[in-house]
Amino acid sequence: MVYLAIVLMGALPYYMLVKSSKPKNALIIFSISAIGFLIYSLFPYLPKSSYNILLELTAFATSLLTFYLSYKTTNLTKLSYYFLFLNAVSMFVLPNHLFSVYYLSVLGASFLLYTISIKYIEIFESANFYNVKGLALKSPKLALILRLTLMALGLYPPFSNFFSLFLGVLKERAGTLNYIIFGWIFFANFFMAFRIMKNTIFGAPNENIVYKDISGKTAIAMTFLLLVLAVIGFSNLLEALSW
Amino acid sequence: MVKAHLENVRKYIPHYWPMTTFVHHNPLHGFEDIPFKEALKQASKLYKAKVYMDSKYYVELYKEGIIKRDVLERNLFELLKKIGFEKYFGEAKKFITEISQDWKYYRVKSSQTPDISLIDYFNQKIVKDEDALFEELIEDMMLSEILDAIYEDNITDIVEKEIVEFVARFLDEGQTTMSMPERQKGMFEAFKLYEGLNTSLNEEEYADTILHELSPKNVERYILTHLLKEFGWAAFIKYREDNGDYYFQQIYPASLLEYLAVRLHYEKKYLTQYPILNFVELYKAFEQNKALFILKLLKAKNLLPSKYVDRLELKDKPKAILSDYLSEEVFLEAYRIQNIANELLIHLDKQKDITDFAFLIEKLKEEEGYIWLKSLEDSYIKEYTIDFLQSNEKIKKDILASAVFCIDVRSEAIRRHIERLGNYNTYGVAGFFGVPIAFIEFDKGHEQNLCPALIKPQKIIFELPEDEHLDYKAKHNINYTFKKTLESLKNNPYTPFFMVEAMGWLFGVNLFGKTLFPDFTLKVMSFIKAKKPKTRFTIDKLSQEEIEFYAEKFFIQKIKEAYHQEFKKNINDKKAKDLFEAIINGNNKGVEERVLEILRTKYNIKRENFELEKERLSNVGYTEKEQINLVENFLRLIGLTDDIPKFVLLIAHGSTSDNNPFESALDCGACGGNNGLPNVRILANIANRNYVRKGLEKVGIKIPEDTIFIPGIHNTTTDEITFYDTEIIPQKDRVLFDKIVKDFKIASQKTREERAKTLPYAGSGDRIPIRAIDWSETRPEWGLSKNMGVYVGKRSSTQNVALKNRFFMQSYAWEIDKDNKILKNILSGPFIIGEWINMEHYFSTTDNERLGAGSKVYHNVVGKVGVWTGNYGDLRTGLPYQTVYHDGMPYHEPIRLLTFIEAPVEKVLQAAQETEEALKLVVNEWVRLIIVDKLKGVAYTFKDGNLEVLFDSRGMNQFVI
Repeated sequence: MVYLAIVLMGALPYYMLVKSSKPKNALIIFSISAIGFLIYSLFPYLPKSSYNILLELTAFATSLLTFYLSYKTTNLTKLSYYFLFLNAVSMFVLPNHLFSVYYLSVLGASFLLYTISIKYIEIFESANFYNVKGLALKSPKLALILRLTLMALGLYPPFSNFFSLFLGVLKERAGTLNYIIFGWIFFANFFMAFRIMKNTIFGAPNENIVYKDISGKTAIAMTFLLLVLAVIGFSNLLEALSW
Repeated sequence: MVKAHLENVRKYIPHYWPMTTFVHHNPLHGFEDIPFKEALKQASKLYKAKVYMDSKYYVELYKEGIIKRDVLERNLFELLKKIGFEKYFGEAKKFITEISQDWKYYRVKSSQTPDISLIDYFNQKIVKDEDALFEELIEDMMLSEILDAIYEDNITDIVEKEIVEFVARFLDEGQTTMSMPERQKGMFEAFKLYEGLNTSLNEEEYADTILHELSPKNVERYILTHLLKEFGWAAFIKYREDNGDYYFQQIYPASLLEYLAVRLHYEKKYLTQYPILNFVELYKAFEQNKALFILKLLKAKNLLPSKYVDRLELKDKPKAILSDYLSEEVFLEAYRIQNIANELLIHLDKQKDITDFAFLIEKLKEEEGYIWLKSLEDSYIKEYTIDFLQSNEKIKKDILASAVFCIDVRSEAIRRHIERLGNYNTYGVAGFFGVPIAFIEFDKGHEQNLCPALIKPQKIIFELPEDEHLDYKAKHNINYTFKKTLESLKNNPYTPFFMVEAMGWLFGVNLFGKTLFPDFTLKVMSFIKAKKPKTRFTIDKLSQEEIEFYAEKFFIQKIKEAYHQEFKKNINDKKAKDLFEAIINGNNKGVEERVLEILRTKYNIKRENFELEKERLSNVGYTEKEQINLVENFLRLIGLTDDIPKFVLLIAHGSTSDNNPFESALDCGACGGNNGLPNVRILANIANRNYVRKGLEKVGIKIPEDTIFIPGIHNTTTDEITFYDTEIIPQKDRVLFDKIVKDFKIASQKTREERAKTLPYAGSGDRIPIRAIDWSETRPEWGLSKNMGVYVGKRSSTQNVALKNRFFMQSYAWEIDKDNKILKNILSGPFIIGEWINMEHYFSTTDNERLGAGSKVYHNVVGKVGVWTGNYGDLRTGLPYQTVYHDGMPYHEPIRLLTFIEAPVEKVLQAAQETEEALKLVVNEWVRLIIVDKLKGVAYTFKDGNLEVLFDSRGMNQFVI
């Protein structure tokens, strides 16, 4: 079961099958990952097996491929679930409970990115941000939420994404491959998140499109999720300090 | 061939002056041959810049009552009449005052489907065949940009970085410590060495070859595209090329042709990364997949809506995407017109009505910027014309002092406050006071042209110390040594590591001091800094013997320096003299030929240069006759030819700010972006001479014996006035002069208080002087921002009009200008400079990013010639954001210069017709001219190039605007 959970959580790039930027398809992928995570929560321990290294390498390859593909798209919906596939490999390098926190954080922040992509569709008729520049000047609330979400995904403190991984690095007595994976996760998440930030939040607004902002209520709801991630992050920080 | 193309396009490159002598200029100077409206249309397309403010801005002014309703209606009606749409007047007015500002928001699908004829109308306008669309999209793109769009890469960035890297290094004027070698060979020759380019071709042949290889359809357009890509650098190179006597151009020559060759080289070099290498191959590839190419270009230009970008990503059929995109564009445009018609409650049932209405709305959108601008200007013209025309001359008696200021808008407030304090009258004249000079300041090696950029000064003036200035020398030497030591420690590859630890705190003292205790720090710094000794000027012409003496002295010094630099040894006066004799008189006795050769070839120490030096020295100073002429012209220019008071105060201006690369933009524009103090000191000195006064008497100007001319400087940042050379005031007049000084201090204080109200975060007037020394202050003063017009005439006509520091004021008494000479001088000097200043502010406000310099906060000085944003990029032209904007709102009100000339109409027309450049600006409407003919009681203006009565105070009281 744990192998199934790992695969469902994103160790294999099954998103290639749907290859879509449709929100519905993305939602299915999120659901599958969430189911995978539930299964994993029930059967958290990987049996000692020579297959594990193979699976770890496969998940790492998926992560590399996802990172490559992320540079081929400017669609936020797609990118939201790409983060899941980028991070599934972390299961092999993090202790179980920290992986749960980390993956849940990634799932939460990615889902937030997904909801932002839905807002993009409502406002710009598509979740593609290629032409949507200078969001900070035109839709400040949406830009702020997007910036915080991307900071969480880009592994910036104080969000739990960063602290759980950081704590993992401290606690895990890992081998060379694992350190490579740790390094990879840090950099890949950072570059993926900041590529989005650079291209859509900053710069001069596109005069050819009509910008709208999200409502205050939506912003508060989204902020709540970020707040949860930050609170978990602080508890991780306290754990790291006491370690 | 390239040369010819380049000549045709060079006028489209904006004007630029280096940072140290910032001269306000019209960035669209090259378009002044065509009418303003048409020029702006073309320029907007060419520079991709906004040339009018957004309609929202004008609507606010309309709501505030600044733009008058009747004026707007008249201008709108005129346009509608011209295009035959008077019947839609009400709708048109509602459109431009209420709907247009939300133009984008009407482009949405609504419940009412657009009429089929409306769709046909836009179908014809938008849907073109693929070839035409492609041509339209690539018209302003370099091949590398086109290929970047098609292959979704970004080599153009690398190309531009390489170009900027080379150009910035080559054009450096002393910022870098490791300057590029071999620059004296010229830009292209140095580039060949820099790039390891093994070619015997010169820049023209090289550019020609690459252009031939690239084969663009329209070579001239392609050259222009390249030059406009980084037009700041192109503008600076153009400046250097146009000013052959510019020091750095003389030693490191550069030209636009060479710059073009460099640009083309890098483009060609990086194009090899793509399978397409020229336009022939591009067109071939385009034939294979026209729709995809067009979509990629639309995407790169941010014109393709996101949903189509998604479809491109999903590899949908390009033809289908393009077709859907175009039909959606057609529908959305049709919807927009339909929505506007609904908003205006227009029922359009006839097919012709609908398309006519669409045409009208498009025309209004195209013309609204100009309609608003003209209405804003006309509203001001209407307001001021009556005031100027009806003001009466009031003659003040018992004038104690006449103060002459620069025409600058910043002089208006202080002039007003001085006049209100008692028996003072004031005059305005271009800040170089009619004394155009090439000035060599004490202890500085280079010349400054203290005159408008339009004039090449004929006279050279040196500033010399009056005494031995030992204290200055000592402090100067200590400071110089300290600075050099710091510089060498800073620039050495190894020493910075420990230098930061050991001496970093020294910089911290200055930094914290300036931030926390600016007053105190300034006092400490001024104590440390060597104080300039009392100086005099070389006003009188040199005799032949003096010329010989100084030329020889200068040359011997040059030989000593060259020898030291070459052989790292000092030589004594005798040996230097021997070398001098050998070079100049061919007396080679006892002198090594090798040394002479080095001095001649490497250091340019030749007989020809000695002769040139003598010729230059013959331009030093004025003859007696020239001195008399200088004062006579000045007094006639301002109309001060009789009743000259006891004191004539000649007050130039300058500014003070810290950490401000644009400091010279705040100095006197009429002095080439410098402080005008030398000009007034020279003029006052000459005017106080007995033989000059006697000479003036002969031409009918009687200056009373006890009249004294005193020079002074108005610091426009602090509004303080400081007088110079006051020791010539006799004891008996001291009390009177002290009263003047006291009164001027009061006037300064009042001016500061007035200015503090408009300066952000200035608090009270007392805090204003701090801004001059605050290194973090991005806006030490507003400078010339908000300038609106110029009044050429008597002060009495403007004295009781609220000019709000928005007018340049040139004194002019037409009665004494019998042959129009003075007016012609005004039209060919201050008038044109005024237009440059005004247009620079105009375009820096309408599009600060493109035609201005962007925010000061991100500026870094490059090569000591200008600034760029961040750490590389284009040289920023225009004015920074903080000069014309505040808190996201424009502070400067962009309008054309309203030029009021107080004189009989025939006189003005005659003078204008003889001043080609000025006439061109008036006829093409780059300035709005209003002739205030007080004799007739009529004001005139130009409309569509023709003279018309604007206002007749004799009864008709009818405005034509």
